[in-house]
Amino acid sequence: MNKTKRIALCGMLTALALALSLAERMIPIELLIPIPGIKLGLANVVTMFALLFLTPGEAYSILFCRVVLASLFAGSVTQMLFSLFGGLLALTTVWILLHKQGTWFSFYGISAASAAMHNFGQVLAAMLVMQTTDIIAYLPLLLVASIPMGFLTGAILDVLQKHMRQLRLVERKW
Amino acid sequence: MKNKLAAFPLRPGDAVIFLAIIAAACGIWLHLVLLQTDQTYGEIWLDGALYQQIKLDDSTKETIRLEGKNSEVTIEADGRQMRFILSECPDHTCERTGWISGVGQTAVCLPNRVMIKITGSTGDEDAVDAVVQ
Repeated sequence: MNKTKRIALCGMLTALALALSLAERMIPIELLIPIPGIKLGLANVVTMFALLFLTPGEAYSILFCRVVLASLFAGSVTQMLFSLFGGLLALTTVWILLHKQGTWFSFYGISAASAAMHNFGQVLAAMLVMQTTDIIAYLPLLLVASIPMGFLTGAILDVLQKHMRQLRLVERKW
Repeated sequence: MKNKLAAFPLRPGDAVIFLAIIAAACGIWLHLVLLQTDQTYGEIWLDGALYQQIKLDDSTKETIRLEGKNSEVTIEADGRQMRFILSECPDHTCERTGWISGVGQTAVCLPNRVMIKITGSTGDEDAVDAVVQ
């Protein structure tokens, strides 16, 4: 794949991740499962996809652009800090675990680990900003919720990567 | 061969991940449970400083009115629990939080910078000192 095509693809993926993270806010999942701070994490599928088919550097760039733009459109600086902290932790976890994907881990497990680390990172950032450890009370339920949420995003990624491999739009790295 | 493996999508490592997540959740939950003490105190914080501390026991019955950052706030302590009953602010989030009673639980009225919090008998010495000052 040539350089121009790569850049175009990165831009498209960033736009897709941004659209997903904004669309996700319209799904009232908190009403369905009343855990404060719960969300699907659909934008995470995009960054995991980028890690799978592009380079880690490109995946981190897409994550960074998505988080900054998402908080510019709807959100605050503190929210951006929380998302960035959680997102970086989650993506690094995926990067490490992907090396053993297929033998040790499946996309389902990797997604769940990613979701858990994302929640952990966000709560950690919140504790640092608000200078209190009281917020840790939110973590147990969020961690348990990350298993079904990770399962969902993992299933999407699993189906997606199978089809993308057949399309041969991009070469598969792992 | 790869297709045969794909019939069952999960791998052994996944179980480790799921167990680790559940173990972490249980660990934090257990930590929170261990924080609970027999004697609890209700604290009212105004703009980052301790305003009042109330010893909570079965005979506690108090209504506290205080002037917050923008308007007046009314807090009720009844038995071992505490809640916001009235805040003259646009969002009534603090009232909707309802009763709090467990150590570590908080309710916040952000517009008035008022926070109520339940603390255990440990570490309340510092808090009492803050009142004396």
